[in-house]
Amino acid sequence: MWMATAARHDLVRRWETFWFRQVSPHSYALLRMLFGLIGFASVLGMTPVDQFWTPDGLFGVPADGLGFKAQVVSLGYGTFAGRAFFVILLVSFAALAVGYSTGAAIVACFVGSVFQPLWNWLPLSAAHHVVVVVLFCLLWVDCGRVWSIDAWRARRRGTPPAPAPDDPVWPLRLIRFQVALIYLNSGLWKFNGELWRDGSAVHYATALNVFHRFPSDVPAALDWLSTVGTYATLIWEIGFPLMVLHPWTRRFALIVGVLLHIGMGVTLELGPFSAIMIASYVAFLDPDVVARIRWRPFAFRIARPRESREAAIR
Amino acid sequence: MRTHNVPPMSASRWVLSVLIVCHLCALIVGALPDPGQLQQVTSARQPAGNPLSAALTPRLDTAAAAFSRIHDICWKATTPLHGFANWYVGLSGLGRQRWRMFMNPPTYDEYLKARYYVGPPDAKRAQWAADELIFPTHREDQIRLFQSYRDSYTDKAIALALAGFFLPPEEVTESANQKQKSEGLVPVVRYYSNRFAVRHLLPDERILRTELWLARVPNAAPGTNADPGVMQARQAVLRRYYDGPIEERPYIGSYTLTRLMEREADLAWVMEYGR
Repeated sequence: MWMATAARHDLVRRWETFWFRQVSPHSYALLRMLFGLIGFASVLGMTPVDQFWTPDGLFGVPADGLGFKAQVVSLGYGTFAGRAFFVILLVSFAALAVGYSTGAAIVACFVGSVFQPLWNWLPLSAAHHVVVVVLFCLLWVDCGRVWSIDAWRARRRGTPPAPAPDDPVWPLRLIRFQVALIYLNSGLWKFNGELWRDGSAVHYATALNVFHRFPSDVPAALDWLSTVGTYATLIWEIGFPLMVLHPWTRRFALIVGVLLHIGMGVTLELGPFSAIMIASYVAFLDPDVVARIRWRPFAFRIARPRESREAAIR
Repeated sequence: MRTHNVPPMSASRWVLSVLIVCHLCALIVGALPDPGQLQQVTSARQPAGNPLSAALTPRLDTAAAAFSRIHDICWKATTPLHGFANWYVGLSGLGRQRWRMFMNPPTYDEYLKARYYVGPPDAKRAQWAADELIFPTHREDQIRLFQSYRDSYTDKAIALALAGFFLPPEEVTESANQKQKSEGLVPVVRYYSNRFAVRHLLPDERILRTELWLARVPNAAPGTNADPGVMQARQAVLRRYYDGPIEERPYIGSYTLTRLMEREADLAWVMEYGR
């Protein structure tokens, strides 16, 4: 009886530590900055404004019924609404990146990003969906407490934010879970595809004229490389959720991931996708290591820890 | 003994724990694809490609067949949760977790050109016509650098419009999908027609009809190189388009509403849509 009670208490304590331990806010701040910048670049990429945001552009046909979009377009406000939406979203992502009115900015970015495919789904890819799911996790934490204009203004007013660390870890864990789910899901979909199982998927993907960055195709003599790349991608994506469980394998998984996405970014034009996935890896870094980053103009360094890791966590 | 001294978890954390568990469950269940969306794995293939492919393909095909059975079991077991999961991911804005990037990469290059028939506003016959290559947006004979980042959004928009137009029959089940299929290329025709009219038409001219012509050219199979002569011929054709719309003045033919086919080098253009 006593043993069972102790085991239950231990389980609850572990659960509480796993989800609710306090961490320094710097990981959230870095994610905010990166996703703010990438979101800004994504919105800016969808220009000229009238090409992607107004009804005369490459703009999905309004749905029937009483939808907001159909109403706005039928009333003749489609162009105005589209341009206003573009400006609001661009300003929101800029504010998010620099940490200005961070709370309002992240809500505006999230709501705007959710609304974006309803307004015009045509130019949006999986990269947009990744931004949405990461922003959802950042909604639940104050990610403007450090490395932000909000923090700078608070210091100038003489009311500095509460000393770190005091943000819960669960939003960070949700991002980790989400990223792992993306890779697992993507890997299993690929596993269902014939070209991934016969080793030719990377060959065909790199040969596609819509994506390939270089005019010439990969020579046939190097075809073994694309076969290895196909199977390595498949194994890495499906294995990602397992590999990130342990610090050693996590490091391997993240390094391979960075190399893979850089390789994809160099050989294929995938918009902001590679940058978004690499940025999401910040969630897997030790928050205490991220907290020791010292920003300098055009460079940054990671300071030595001044106290033990356990003390920092507490 | 130590555990008895630990304060119990607060009520708010218990509530939050329940919400987190529900969130994770909804994401996982929402990520499960409908078995009908998966490709059927019929039998293990024996490819004659490189040794690695030859060794792994039959094993992976067998594993995929087994996995599809496991997926069916998971799908049936979670059926009571599908409603909740769909409701939650829809309400929260997270959407269905379908990460199908490059799941089935096309084995062919794709080109789309618009043909505009131009004449006076009240004309029955076109006085001149012009062909404009609109997809892919970039030039294939140059390395893609910074401009291609913006081009990628245009390409994505056209690719999605094409995908909507060519939606497989099994996915045309809802009225929204049917509408998407029938009107999938309307935005492309409308946008490029307007752009062409602004750039190239005189005040007393208008576009009488716009057609979209699609060419799909198979890419070289693994282990083979594309024929250099064929590629050069195709590039020569494409270079004419890169210089701007190719005009035919005067246009002596008459456009037809039927599906047509034309050939330029190895590009077999098929008229898919006209308006």
